[in-house]
Amino acid sequence: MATPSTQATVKLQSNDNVVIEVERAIAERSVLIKNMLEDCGEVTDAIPISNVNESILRKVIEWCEHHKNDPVAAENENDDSRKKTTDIDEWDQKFMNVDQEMLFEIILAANFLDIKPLLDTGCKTVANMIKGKSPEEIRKLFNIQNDFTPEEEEQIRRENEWAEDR
Amino acid sequence: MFTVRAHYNESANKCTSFFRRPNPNRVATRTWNITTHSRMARNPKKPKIQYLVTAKDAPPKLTVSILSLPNELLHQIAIHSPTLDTFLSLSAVNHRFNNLIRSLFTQERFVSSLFKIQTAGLEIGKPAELIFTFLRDACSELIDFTHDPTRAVENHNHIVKETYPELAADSDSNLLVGTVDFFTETSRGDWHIATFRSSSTLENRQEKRLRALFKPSSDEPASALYLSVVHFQYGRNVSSAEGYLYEKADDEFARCLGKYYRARTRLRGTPEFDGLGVGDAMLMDALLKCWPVTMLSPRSMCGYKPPPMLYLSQKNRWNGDATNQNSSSGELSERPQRKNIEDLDDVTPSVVLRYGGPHGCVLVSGVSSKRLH
Repeated sequence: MATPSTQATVKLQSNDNVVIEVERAIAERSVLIKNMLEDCGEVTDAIPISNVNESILRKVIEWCEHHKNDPVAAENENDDSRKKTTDIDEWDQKFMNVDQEMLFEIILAANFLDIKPLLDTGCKTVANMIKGKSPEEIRKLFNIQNDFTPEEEEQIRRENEWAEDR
Repeated sequence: MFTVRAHYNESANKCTSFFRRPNPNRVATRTWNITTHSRMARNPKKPKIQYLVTAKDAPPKLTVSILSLPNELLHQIAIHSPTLDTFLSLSAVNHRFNNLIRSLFTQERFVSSLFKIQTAGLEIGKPAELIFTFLRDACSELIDFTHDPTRAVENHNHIVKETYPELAADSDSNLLVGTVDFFTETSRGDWHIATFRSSSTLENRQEKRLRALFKPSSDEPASALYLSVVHFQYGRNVSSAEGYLYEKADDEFARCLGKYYRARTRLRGTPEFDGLGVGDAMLMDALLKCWPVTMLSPRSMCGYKPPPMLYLSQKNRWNGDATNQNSSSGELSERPQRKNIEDLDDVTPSVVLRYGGPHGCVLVSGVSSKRLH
């Protein structure tokens, strides 16, 4: 492993070739980047973030800047220990108040960059969007095609019947 | 210049549909500024020109929707579902979601997550304790024995048809109460976990599924199974009366907890319980974790379909006296005395709730007692 670097900033390059310079501490909210910097030491070239375009990368950096002082979650923290679904920080709620496409791109970017708290926030946001909705309403919300046959639909309805109100 | 929104088809290298007003139900949209014919701008409702947006104008890649997410991320969204209703709704969206929700891995995580949500601070992995705590905290408000403990023990052979006034205010939640049986030979702090069988006939597929879930040791048909958990608060040789709390209309496939939640939500304004919530989590947990349940005379229970039950434990009446010895054999030597309101401290109510469905029934119960607060 390379010797730890003390550089204050790092450059990130989006997949549309835009280079953004950010504080190292902010970039290290991403476990992917953090590990990369620890392995490589001093990095002068821009780090290519191949799966993320400029607008999403800036959005992710904005989130990392706001949360740069948050305690880092333990590595062995599993899904079960996460916070209540509806517990989304007010700032995060505003941050996630974007169109669906950007929301899903942020989720994908958080997954790629390995930023678990951001990924959690994104998933909770989507979970809250579907709260209380019927399958048809969910399809409509996300523009999903119903690929069930009527028989399959009836079968699923019967299987889920026990949980329905009567 | 004016703005249109369009769907971009990458393979055809053009946009396939246009609309001027953003449609909130369509996610695969982007906005471009394109030059239009002046006539179009004046009369946008009757376009005369076919617009094409080429790759030069188009976004650099396909738009992203929820279906662009890999299964591992859809899994995370699913386990964050705030209620069981939502979780199950996802299973009926399309094949991909259905496969995801049907996986035991997703279901287990969802149940754990829901437990965590509604029982914050409690230790995970002790479902019986979780049930107990939940029932103690959530149900004791409505099932208030200051109104009817005497009725509950008035006649152990007959159902005493009394309606809880709080729930009676809710037209679809009329509940009745009565007493029927006694537990014996229990130690303080014991947990009683049992399954019951009924004579319900299931299809082979359902039977197989139920057996897979419960893993019964015998070859008897799984049919409808009931699961019961009771926590005893008094020492050995103290009997607990077992009562019934059930719906007035139809006891088959009773969904008391669901109705209870809803009634409670309306009456108490507790939105966190507006779904089926933790009760369903308990049910799923019981199904998925295959609790180490003890069979309680399964043959003798054939044909017996217990409705949601109410348990009473009476410390003073049976503790150490002759009646207790008789009740240890499962019978009562004498009719219980009518109790006064002042004796309420000796009454430890618990609630048993039954769940029903096409795959059989599961009974989940626990003790709800103000004494343990």
